[in-house]
Amino acid sequence: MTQPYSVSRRSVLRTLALGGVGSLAGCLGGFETQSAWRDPPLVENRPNAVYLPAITEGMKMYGRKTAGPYGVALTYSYPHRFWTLTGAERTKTPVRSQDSIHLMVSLWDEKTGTVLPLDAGVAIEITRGDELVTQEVAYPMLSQQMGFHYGANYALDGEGEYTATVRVGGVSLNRTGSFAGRFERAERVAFDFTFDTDDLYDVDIRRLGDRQGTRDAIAPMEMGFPIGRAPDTDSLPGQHLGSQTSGDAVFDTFVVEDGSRFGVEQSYLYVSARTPYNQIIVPMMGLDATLTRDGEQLLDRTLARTLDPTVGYHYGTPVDTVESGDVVELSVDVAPQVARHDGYETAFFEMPPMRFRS
Amino acid sequence: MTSQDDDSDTDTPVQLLTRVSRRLAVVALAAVAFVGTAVASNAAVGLDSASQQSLSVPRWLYVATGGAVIGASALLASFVTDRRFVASIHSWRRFLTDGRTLRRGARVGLSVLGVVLLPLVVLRGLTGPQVPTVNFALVLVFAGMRAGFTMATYLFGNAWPSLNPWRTIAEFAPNGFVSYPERFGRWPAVGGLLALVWVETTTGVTSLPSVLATTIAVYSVVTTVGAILVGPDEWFEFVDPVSVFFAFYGRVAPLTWTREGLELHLPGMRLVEEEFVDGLDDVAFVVALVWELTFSGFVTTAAGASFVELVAGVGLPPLLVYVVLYLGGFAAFVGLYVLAANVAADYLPTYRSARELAVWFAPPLLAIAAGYHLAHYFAFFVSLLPTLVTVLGSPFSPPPNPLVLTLPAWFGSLNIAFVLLGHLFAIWVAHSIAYERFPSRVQAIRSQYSFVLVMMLYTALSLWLISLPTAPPAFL
Amino acid sequence: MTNTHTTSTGESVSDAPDAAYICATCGQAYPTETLLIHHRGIRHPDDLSETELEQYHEAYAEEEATLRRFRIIALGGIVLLYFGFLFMYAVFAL
Repeated sequence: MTQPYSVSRRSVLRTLALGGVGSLAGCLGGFETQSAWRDPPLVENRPNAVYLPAITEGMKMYGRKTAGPYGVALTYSYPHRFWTLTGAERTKTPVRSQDSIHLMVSLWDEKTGTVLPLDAGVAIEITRGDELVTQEVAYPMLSQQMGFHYGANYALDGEGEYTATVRVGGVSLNRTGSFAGRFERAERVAFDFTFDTDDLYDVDIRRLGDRQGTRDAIAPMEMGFPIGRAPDTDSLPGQHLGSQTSGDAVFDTFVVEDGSRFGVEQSYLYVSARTPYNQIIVPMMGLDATLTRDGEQLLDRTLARTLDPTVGYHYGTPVDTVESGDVVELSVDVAPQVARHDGYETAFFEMPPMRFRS
Repeated sequence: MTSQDDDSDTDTPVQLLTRVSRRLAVVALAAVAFVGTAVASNAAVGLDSASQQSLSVPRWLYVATGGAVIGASALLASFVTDRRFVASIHSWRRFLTDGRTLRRGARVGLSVLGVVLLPLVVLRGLTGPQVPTVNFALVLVFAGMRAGFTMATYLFGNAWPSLNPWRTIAEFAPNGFVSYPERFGRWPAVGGLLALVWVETTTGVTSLPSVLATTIAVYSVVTTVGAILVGPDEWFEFVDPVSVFFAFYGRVAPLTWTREGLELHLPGMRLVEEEFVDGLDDVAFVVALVWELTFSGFVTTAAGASFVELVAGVGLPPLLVYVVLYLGGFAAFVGLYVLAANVAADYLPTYRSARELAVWFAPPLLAIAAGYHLAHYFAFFVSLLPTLVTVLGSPFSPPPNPLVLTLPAWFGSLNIAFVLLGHLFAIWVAHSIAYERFPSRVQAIRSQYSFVLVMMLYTALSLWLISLPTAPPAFL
Repeated sequence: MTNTHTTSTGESVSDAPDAAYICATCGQAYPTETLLIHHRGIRHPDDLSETELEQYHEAYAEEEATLRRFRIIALGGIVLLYFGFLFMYAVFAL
């Protein structure tokens, strides 16, 4: 029986009492109200990899709209704990006592269905009539259930009618192919929704019991819009230099001999990074590549985070040629600066370098 | 001239009491202080699933100290040999009010409340969010009734007969078609209590609101039909486990309604006065109250879970392991108590049978059970209080994010205090009972030996359990 | 008198063996004479004859002596317990 969702005496005490909370923050001297879901117990001995969390939540949708070139869907679930990454530091964001809902924005190119991970720039503003209720940046986030999305916990003012205005900033990423020059403009789109707790509680909660902690991932919920799956490696253009795993993320390196399609004059070296099991893109990394031929280093460069209609989100750089026997070494300078739900927070964190041989 | 005058030539009761209580306080405080650090650190350590070796006091010493506190208190209590003083403690009473109107009003109010809440619990259990911490049914039944109302019952008084919705219904219906066979005594209630606790531990009623609602619906049908058949008075006095549960816990409480009005006693002292335990069925029920808390305490510790896993690893079905553990443990608890009665009947020069002694000395166990209950449920109740209030305030609109109260670290040591306090009350009650029943004071003191030993064992076991790190029960 | 309002639960005379000492007032049986004397002294102080009263005083004084001995032993036990635990805490917990 999983802990925070049971009212058996011991489980509640285990979750919140007697020293358990003391370790979270010094200020919690006792007798303060906090969310029962503030910090549900984690799976014991989490692997440093993608694993099945103790509990997974489903989601429901408030609406799906088009704003300029963007397809936007607003979905919601229970307020829940997530983890943010700043540099190499992982910070837990527990559920605050005032949080009412976890709102999620999915963002994609309406034309191609490519999910768009913007480094920063999705915010949700919630109003009730003319009154501002809350306004907060939604973190780019990875979740097993929901794929890649932008999300945060929001505090609402009880049940009732609200308007959520999603602001999408422009894209500052490299764009190649038909994406070149697109996604420049910021857009706004408003969703009217009714917050009803009974409806919120219809969102399904699954306890994973004995499976929790195993190295696997829940299949994402398909709700009819893109969830950020990376394209199949078979369909990616160029010569496949191989597939390697680092920090449980899967890296596929390719060389396209004629890089003109990617706006470069030479060849184009690119890396597609994805989560294991669900093949969700792993964005926002600082990825360095070196190319070594016969012991001579020909290239040492940070790969550019790039959006492409066929390759999707990837890391790429121009390169003169890649010959047979060349060694490409990838090192992750900055771990993916993307927030994570339970099950992804220990993975994609410590990422040793990888070698690919042409 | 009466016997009591002769006592005064040894110690004045006041002097003696002062001396006794001072020493008692020192011993108890010393134990609690020492042991408190052990357990507070232990709880934190347990949560971090780190090693258990960092205890400042070895666990065996902590457990032994608890047992010794009980033993020492029994010795100290035996210093109080003034019959008049002993009697004056437990026969002390005050009439607070004759408040007939108050009583009638409270009764009607509670009846209405009960009849409204019951269908609401079933309805919201089935239709409300299937998330335990916000579901009206679950929060009300476990935080409200199982923890809060039970605590109120032994700390203040028993209001269940008025609140009991099934009684209200049965009283309105034509009833009493069959006469209740007297020879069954309270055995049906004993079986019922064991069954309910079994359901609570194994079927997921604590986490699945719809299962809880279904269980309550079934219970309602059985109870209503039964109460209408044999009449509510017999049914709720002898058969219904919940009513007997509250009635017994209510004996510990200081407040009670008598014919004259609301009467106040010292806490626990009505256990001496009233002869409500009058058969082995009642003894079994009282022991079951102690046992159910011990059992649920055991299976939710890491040690308990790994024990069950170990035994099940041999190839036995887990549920069978639980059944054997549950019923076997209960039998052992009853057996131990009956053995103590037998031993006492053997070594005492008396014609009283072991059965009689067992019946006499059973009420103190209720104080022990109340102490355990408080140790097990007080922190649980306090932390869930905000949710309970929210849920009661808006049964049809669950909170989006249930709130709980954080507890300071010292709250953990309260549990030890509650367990010890329950036992200290039990020691005094047993002492008073012995003085009421035996003509010789030496005999009265000696009669308690074996029972005190059993109590020390119960304390040690219980203190050990609350010091263990918790874990979800295996296989459930 | 406060403690006379509760009477001991009845134990019928027929249950008791022949050699029992039986209270003439309430019929309760006791295995020794001393216990019967105590019983009568406490429960039926007004029914005592002169001899019984004297016997009761004697028994009471004797009981008082036993209790005194018991208290000394119990005190010894408590002291032993106290220092035993003090010692154990000194060894195992410091």
